[in-house]
Amino acid sequence: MATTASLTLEIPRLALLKRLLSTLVLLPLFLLIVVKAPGWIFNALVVIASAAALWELTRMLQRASRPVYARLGVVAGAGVTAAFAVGGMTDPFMFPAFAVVVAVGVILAAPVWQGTASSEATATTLLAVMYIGWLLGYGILLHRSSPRGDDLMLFLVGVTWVGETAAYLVGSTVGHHKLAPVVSPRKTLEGAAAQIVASVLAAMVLRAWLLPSCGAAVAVAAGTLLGITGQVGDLAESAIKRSVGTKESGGLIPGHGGVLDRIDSLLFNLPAFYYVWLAVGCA
Amino acid sequence: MDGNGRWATSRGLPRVAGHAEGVTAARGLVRAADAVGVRYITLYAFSTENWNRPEDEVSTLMRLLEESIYRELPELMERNVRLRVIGRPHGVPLPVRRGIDHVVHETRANTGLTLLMAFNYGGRDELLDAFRALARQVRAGELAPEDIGEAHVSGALYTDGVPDPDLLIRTSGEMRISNFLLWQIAYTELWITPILWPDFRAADLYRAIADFQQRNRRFGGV
Repeated sequence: MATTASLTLEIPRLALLKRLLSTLVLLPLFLLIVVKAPGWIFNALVVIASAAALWELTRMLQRASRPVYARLGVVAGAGVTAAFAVGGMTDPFMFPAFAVVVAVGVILAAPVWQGTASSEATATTLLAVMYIGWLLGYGILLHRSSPRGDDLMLFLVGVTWVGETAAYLVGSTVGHHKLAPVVSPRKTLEGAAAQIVASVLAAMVLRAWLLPSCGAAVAVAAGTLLGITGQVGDLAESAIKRSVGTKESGGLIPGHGGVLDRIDSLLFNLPAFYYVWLAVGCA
Repeated sequence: MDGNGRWATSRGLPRVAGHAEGVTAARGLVRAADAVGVRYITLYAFSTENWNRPEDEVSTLMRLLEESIYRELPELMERNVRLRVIGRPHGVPLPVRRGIDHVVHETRANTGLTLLMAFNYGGRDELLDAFRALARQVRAGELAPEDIGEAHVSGALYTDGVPDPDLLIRTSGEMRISNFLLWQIAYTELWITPILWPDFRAADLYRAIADFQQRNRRFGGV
């Protein structure tokens, strides 16, 4: 069991156990909400995840003494995410775009009543709103854009998580060549390659099961894209964490770090997959 | 299926190219609808008013239809799709009619999706034909005028046996019904999109269905 041995070198056994237990509890709960619960419960879950991730991001910034309008960022960002659940599908971006306009206006006007004139606080708050609030909104959008929304969501999340796990396992066992030493020193080229390969394989298996009306070529293309954008999303979050000198976004999920750590790849993969779906539209 | 001509003109192509692209879009729609379990689709292919278009456009359209109907038969059989045609058969060029009749006959036993093609169709003409049929029954003494109910009218329409549509999709942003299924759409939900028909993709159909699923249909109640 060489795999287990080298894994325990990387992280303490207890942490791994915690991580496994959290997964065992949270994964079935997530699947249940996607498949069985009414749409508004899923939407509520996404908005809560958005608020939690926004809270973590603003906390990270504050701990590093970076100016940010924390409460405003959480409220405005969660509001933008929630706006994706409103309105008809003829123009699904009508309310989200409106929410962004309001958020930008309020955040730029914030110095008036915050009593501090800081363009950096404005910038970091806008970053939080667009990075988390806007991108996570695509989760709600993808789920409600099709009668097969449940299957689309399971496909996307499945491909992303299988890819991430493969990158972690391969990277931490046989990885040698650094992928991005400045941003995320423990990521390796071997892990990156494993993520792309595993994403394609997962996409092919999940397509046959969840999206039989989509062709195999669609699965290969989607798997490749998600394998790449997911890593870019992961590195993007690492870059933010590195810039504020922290390793985990928070401790909300035992063994997994914070909510933001868990959804960093999804934040990039959701919009990427939404546009793939829009172009191919096979489910 | 509006917008074929505009689609082609905006690309500097002849209008006929838009119709050819429209056939592709129709094929995609049937596949997409079949994938999510839609039971009936009616495509408004050619109205009784469309004969007023320039003669060469009409004749090319007819040729295109004749060609494509034969070409689609294998896939219709493979997907277990049944083709029905609604509209008046008179006035349709004979080769086209033969082609349509052939495919309708070949697919008659298919039990999957029913594809209704409105061809040489007009909603008022359909009602006129239905009223004439009912009037003939009345004159023959088979039916008393006071006994005529909704079911009699529905049964006398071209769409006899087909449930009323749940959702009507109109492309290219036209805000009118244009003489389509006038009786049947009394409580049909409307979905109007600015997308031109050749650009209409499966994702657009699914958005329309997803939107439809979120609507509250009251059928005149509360």
